[in-house]
Amino acid sequence: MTNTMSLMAQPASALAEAFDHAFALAPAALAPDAIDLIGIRLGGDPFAIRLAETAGVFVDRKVTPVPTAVAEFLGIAGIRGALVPVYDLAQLVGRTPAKNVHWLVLARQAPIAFACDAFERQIRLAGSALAPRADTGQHVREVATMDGMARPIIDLSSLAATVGARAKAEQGGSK
Amino acid sequence: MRREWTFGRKIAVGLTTKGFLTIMMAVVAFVALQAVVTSKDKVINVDGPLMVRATQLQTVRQQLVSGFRSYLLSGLQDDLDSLLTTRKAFADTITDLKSDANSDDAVKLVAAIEQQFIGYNNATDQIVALRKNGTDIPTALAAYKDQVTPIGTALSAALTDYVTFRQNELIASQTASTRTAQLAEIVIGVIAVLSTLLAVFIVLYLTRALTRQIGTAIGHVQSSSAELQSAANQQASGMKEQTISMNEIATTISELLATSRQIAESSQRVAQIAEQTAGSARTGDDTVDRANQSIGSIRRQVDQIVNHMLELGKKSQQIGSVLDIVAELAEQTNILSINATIEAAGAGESGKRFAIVADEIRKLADRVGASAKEVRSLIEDVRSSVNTTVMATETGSKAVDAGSRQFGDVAQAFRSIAALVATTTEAAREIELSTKQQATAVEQVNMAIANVTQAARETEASTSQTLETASLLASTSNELLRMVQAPAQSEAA
Repeated sequence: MTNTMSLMAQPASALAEAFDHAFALAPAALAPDAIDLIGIRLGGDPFAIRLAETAGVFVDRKVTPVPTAVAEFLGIAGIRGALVPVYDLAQLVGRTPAKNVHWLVLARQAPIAFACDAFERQIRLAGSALAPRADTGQHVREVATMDGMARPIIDLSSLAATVGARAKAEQGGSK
Repeated sequence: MRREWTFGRKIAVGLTTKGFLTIMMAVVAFVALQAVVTSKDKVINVDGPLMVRATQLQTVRQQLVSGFRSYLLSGLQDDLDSLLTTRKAFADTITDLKSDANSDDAVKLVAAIEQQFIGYNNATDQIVALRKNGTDIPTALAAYKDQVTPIGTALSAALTDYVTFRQNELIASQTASTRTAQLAEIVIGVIAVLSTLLAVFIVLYLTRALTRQIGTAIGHVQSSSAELQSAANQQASGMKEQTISMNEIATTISELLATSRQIAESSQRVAQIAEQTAGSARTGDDTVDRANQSIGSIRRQVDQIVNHMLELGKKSQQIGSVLDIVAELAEQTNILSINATIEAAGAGESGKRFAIVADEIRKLADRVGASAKEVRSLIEDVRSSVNTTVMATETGSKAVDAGSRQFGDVAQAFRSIAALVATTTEAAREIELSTKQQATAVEQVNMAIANVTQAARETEASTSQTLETASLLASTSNELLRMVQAPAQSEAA
């Protein structure tokens, strides 16, 4: 409530002033090991995705289901003029299936979109805040600790490569 | 005489009968005496004078004979005048006898006398004429002897017959008078005997009847006096018990009088308290009315508050809608800034400045989003509070309605209390009045009881007198019984 009161105590003019003030100063040099993450939630648990591994975040895009034997494959969606397959990120990391496909994260590695339950916010951490973790087959090799809470970081590139390889394999099998 | 006749009636009938017999005997005696007097008067006034006249007529005849002889001897005119006078007296006597003749026999006898008298006069007149002619005495005497003496004898015989007749008439009248007197004596004697016998019978009958009835009545009087004594004794004991009971009743009524007065005082206090309660009830009613008016005002204000709160809820909902837009914009801005950052990162060095702008925009969007969340939270709090307030207010409104109804009930209850207290006051006053009247009545009853007690005492005293009177009556009845009955019977009775 105190935080709420502090935010509420700031008038809009203060926000505008802070915004303008940011442009009045010289660009602050980013920390050399600063890492940008996107905080998401899968099945209610916090996860993170490296910003560098994403090509974009989209909301409320229509996902058209297609017949498939792959459970994680939700369908296809039109993003930036291209049709991209959409996979359920929660199922891919061993979680319960996503209840909706409100949020889509487009992988930079391949034109594959991953649906997640919720988008929290962009997170910028120092590299020291990341800790490696043994991969258990769920494409999580690092864990970011922030605010006393561990947030697994999904290796989106690895995941896209795996999904792509599996798709290719399925395509090969089908031929 | 009948048994149911009274003594006076019986005695009156007896005395009347006796008096009737006496009167009848007197009447008979009077009638008999009148008959005797009549027969006696007839003997004295009729037969006696007729006998006397007859006797006188014989005497006159003797005088007539004597006078005629005297004239014959003397030849004097005086003797002749005397003879004529005597003759006239004789004729007058015959006339009287004719007028007094009361029977045919008497008329015949008088007529015979008169006839003989006329013959005698004629004979004597011839002799007188002889004497007047100077005839000598012996011749005259001889003529007298031849002519007058037979007629004189016949006249004397007629006179004798008439005297005899009158003597017989006189004797018959005397005999009849004597018989009448004897008959009257017999009748009077018989009536006297009958009257005496009847008087004896009446006396005996009355004596027996009166003795029997008076004895019976005395027996009744004795039994009645005995019963009266017993009743008087019982009445005396009853009067004593009644006197005791009346004293107890008087004591109880005195206590009742004291209780009635206490009730009257209590009723008066109850009336006063009821009047005070009625005043308090009216004050409470006014207070409740004012409170009801205040509750009505509160209810209207609560309705206004509810309306304001509902309006506030609607405004909050509208704010929420606007806030959704703001949050959506912030989210879109955030996504846009993330995508810009992603694009800037892909643009290499030239994209750093754009990355800074995108980062600032993202920060601003984050702040706006956070603020929108906070505002949403606040709006939710406000809406929750509004809902809570509305519910509480509705509850309060219902409570106010219930309170208003309850106040109405309380006001009605106060009015009912006031009415009941008024009724109670009236009832208490009526009780007080009734109790005072009751106390007055009880005092009157107490006085009446005292009078009854006094009367009971007097009755007790009179009962003693009655007892004494009954004893006296018993002794008197014994005396009467002894008076009307023989000693043996009296003792037996």
